[in-house]
Amino acid sequence: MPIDPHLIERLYRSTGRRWRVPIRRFTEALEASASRAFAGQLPKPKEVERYLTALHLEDLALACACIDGNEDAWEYFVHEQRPLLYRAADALDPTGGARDLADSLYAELFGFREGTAERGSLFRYFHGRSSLTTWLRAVLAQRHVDRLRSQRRVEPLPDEESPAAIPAPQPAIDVDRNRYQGLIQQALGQAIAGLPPRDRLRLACYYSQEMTLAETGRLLGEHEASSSRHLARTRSVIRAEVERRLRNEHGLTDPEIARCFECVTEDVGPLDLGRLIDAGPERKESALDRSR
Amino acid sequence: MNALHDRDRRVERLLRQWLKTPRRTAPAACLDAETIAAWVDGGLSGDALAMARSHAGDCARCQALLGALARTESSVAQPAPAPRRWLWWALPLTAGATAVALWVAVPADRGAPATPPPAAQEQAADVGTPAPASLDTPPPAAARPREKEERVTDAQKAPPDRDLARTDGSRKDARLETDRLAAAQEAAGRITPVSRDRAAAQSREAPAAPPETALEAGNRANARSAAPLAATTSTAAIVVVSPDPSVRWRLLGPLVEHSTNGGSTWAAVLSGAPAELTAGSAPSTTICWVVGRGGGVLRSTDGRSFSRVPFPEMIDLSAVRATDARTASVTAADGRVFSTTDGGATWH
Repeated sequence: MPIDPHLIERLYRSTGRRWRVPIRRFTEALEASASRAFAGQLPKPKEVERYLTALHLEDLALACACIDGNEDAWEYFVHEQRPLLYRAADALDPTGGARDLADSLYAELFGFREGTAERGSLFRYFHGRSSLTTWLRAVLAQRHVDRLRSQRRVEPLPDEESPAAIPAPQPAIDVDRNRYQGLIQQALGQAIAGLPPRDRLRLACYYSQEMTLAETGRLLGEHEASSSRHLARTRSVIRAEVERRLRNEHGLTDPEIARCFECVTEDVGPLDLGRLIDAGPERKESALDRSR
Repeated sequence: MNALHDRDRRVERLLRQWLKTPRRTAPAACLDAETIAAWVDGGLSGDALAMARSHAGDCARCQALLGALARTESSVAQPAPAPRRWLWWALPLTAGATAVALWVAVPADRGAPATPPPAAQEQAADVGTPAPASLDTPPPAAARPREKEERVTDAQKAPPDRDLARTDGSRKDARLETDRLAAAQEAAGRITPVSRDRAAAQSREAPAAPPETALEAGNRANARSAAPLAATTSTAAIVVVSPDPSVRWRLLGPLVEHSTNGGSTWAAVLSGAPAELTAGSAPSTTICWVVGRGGGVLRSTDGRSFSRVPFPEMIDLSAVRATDARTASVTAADGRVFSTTDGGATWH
């Protein structure tokens, strides 16, 4: 994506010179960043200028210098970022299990490709849209999450006699209770799937990822008080939708609906993963009909 | 109204269980780390931001990534740009002349003075620069993320976080005040995703925040991180100090650490608590009560080993005040107060 040379010169003068980054390298980094942000679009020069001036240019210049093997830049990067990376790893896993991820990430940033003038550094994926610190944390978090998810998939079930074995299902003492638990779980899944994506994200952040209201609000661009209100509203909407589905689709009476909710105690019953709602097709249903 | 309120609470219980169940990833390509980072730092806008939010709303993997990223936010103390220059100056480089020459060569329009004042080196130390000879060593404990000390968590001083079940008419005034505050801040443009410029400005100077309301104080007590984005929240680590200041505990998410030397060194005494811990109270050097989300209550009677105390409801707890090993009052996020005089066997 072509960029006004005067703009490049101005940005380079303010940030690129510190690490003696060649202007050619700096220009390539800016073009790559702009191409990524405006992919498939034809932005106006003013839009490009606004975008580029809002980048974390100092961090971008540092990344360029590190790619080039600038020792001063590396020394600065190690001094500033490596302790932060280790602390982030410890925050992900207080037992220290994520430190190896931090070490391998560091090695990939350094780049060990041989025989080429340019190191195969992970820095080439940094485009200045965030700070370098946030980007490093995001990469580390991504690797940590992916490792956990892959471990979950390959973890074998324990032997039947092992203490960790999943106990055999208890014989149903209350048939209605099991049925009610199943119905309310099904209705809940459908109610969630019918929510707007923003509401689903807010729910996931707060309940699934256990973020605070402040963190949830920052992610969604709203005040934490607004997040709290929206969560309360969404919960009421879900409750009303669950009641509607139990009544209209399963023909339950009001006392039976009350019984369904009473079944929700500490133990919400076994969750059948096979009944989890596929987000794509389910969302093609019409949105919640709150007029009924 | 009470029946609906009760059903709403049960729905909340269901939501916690449901949303924690591993789910499929959305079919569209997941957000990469660079996009996630840009989103968190306010580098996404318009359609890109809308698409990211829409995708993450359905994608378990991206939600997990956001959650993991949020957990690391409190672990990194972002030094202000000005102190970084002093850090550079303070490095005891063998080629000291090179450092001086480089410092002087910094363009004047960056506003960097030629000679750092003596106070800057103290500031550099405060930021916790590790000695260059041991770059792998984490910064000293004193330079860890800013901590909020609590000698006693006073339920009255730390109003509960704004949470979900507040339909009680007695909370109406608090809700109206919160809404007015939120509306005022929205109008002032402080709640939009923070641009880098604003974040940088906030890191350089104290933001002109309005007088803090009691609600904000309560929210600060529950906030996990001190991002430059939210002027009304503070950092995550919560320090619970016993009557003897040298003995204290530190709550970091689900982790509890213990110190007997005033916080110079810490030893982990509890990891993997069921949920994030939000407050604590230590009436003596060996007794410590901590509470957290989802009805989590833990107690230690020897200062080091914690055991779970039964609690009647799976609700977020925001404050605790203990007088001894058997007597404590716990405040929930919705404002209700639960008390025990038998070590948690019964609550009223």
